[in-house]
Amino acid sequence: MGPGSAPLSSHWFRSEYGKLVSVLARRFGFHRLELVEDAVQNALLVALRHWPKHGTPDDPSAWLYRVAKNRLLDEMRRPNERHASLDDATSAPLTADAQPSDATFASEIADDELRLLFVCADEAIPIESRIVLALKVLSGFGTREIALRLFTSEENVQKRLARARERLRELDTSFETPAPSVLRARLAAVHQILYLLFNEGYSSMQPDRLIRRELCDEAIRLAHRLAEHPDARSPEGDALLALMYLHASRFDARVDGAGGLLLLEEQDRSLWDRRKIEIGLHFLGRSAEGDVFSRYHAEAAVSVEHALAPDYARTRWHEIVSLYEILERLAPSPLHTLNRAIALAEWKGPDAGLAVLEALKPPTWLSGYYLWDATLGELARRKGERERAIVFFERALARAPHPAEKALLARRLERARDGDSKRT
Amino acid sequence: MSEQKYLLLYRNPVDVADYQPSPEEMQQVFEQWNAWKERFTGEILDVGDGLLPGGKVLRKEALTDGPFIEAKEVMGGYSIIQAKSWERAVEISKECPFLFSPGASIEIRPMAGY
Repeated sequence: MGPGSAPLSSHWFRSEYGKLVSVLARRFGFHRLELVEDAVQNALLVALRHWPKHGTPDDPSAWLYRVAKNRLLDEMRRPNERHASLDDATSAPLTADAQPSDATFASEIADDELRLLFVCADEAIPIESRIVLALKVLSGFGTREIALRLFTSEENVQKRLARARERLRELDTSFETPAPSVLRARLAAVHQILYLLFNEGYSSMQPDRLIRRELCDEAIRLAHRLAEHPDARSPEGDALLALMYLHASRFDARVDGAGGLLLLEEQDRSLWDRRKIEIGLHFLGRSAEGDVFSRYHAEAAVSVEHALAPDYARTRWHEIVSLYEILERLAPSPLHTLNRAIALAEWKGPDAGLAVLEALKPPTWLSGYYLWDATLGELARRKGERERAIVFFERALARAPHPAEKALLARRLERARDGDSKRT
Repeated sequence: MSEQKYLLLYRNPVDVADYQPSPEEMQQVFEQWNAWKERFTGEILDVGDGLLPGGKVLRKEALTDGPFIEAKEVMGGYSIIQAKSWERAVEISKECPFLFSPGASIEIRPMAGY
């Protein structure tokens, strides 16, 4: 083997892809994003055959940067290039091609990745395209991998990407040095991308746990970038990062040995990752500097209540109830009401919970949602209404989207049946 | 036992020749090439090279554009190995990462050694 062929860390190609695209897109203009991606893709393809033959270079990142940049320059010099020619006024300083030094390069990458994240959050890009674009250009996933992660078809991913790219081609390059006011205006959309990304990993139907975890890690990595940057950090961003860490602390505990989902009350709390909880608390503390209380604050606060409760029974349910009330105001959704009903039932008993649900007129998407029936079933079971509980659980079971949830519901249905047989 | 050199010729079906692997897939293939080279050190004389699309065919009568082998496949690259036996040459080739892409084939040809 050649010199310097130490094995690369896992996902190195993928993370290098995101870094190189970020740096080159900033230098050559975001309207050339697609061309930049092609050049980076090409550089990786070259490396894949060149390095096994000649040995991995001492500085593989710099090597890739050079190859990708040269490819990009070649493409742009080609006559009738469909993107833009070299002499177009918006082109980046192409003469600044000296090899960047390691130190400046590292901080430059962090800035550039953030800048690209803000480009992905452009208000002219449809929301469902933003997350796809971020996964493609910043996380280095291929379209098939994105489809798998977002539980959709590859064709759909390609369509969403195409829509994002259409818009980016028209982008004026003034985003080179975005004004702080532009950054702040777009911050909420950036948070939304990261929140969706994390939720896709944490709560999606994707059966493969490693894949889900990877999405959560990606969201956390990017949220860190945000929290570490003096101009991009905000109380909302800190709360979002706190929320991610607090949820992620339960990642291992919420599955049993066979990969089945466990309810919060069934989880072994000693398996919760204390370090993640501490990091979550740290960022939640930071998020309290200032007078903002966002939905991310409220959601993180709910998560903290669970993280700090000695056990399920001694959870401060009254706190959780009032946090869900706040959430209902900050980000109206009947799902928050459903959650409040569950917490209220823990605090004041099943009747109180049922009263909330009966007062709520659920939209059809909610009344057809398996968690709606599962909640009604659980509350009925606690009241000792065996027959009703079984009907609700059976309906929930039929509507559950994925084997893991089905298994969980089958277990609860069993419990509803058993509970009664013990009583009689 | 005398050593024999073999030329491995790599072929892809036309429709996957321009398949774009994701970075993650590329890293896997990269690691497979490294592992292949390491596993058969001494027997792989030259990992060889890839071949770019395009090219020309020259005959006495005329110069034409490629492709050259029958339209359903393209030549993607080559390596040169050295093996004690025909069986060993096949064994080494079977582990070659090139085979992992769908529809790929390797033509193993003993070199004359002129």
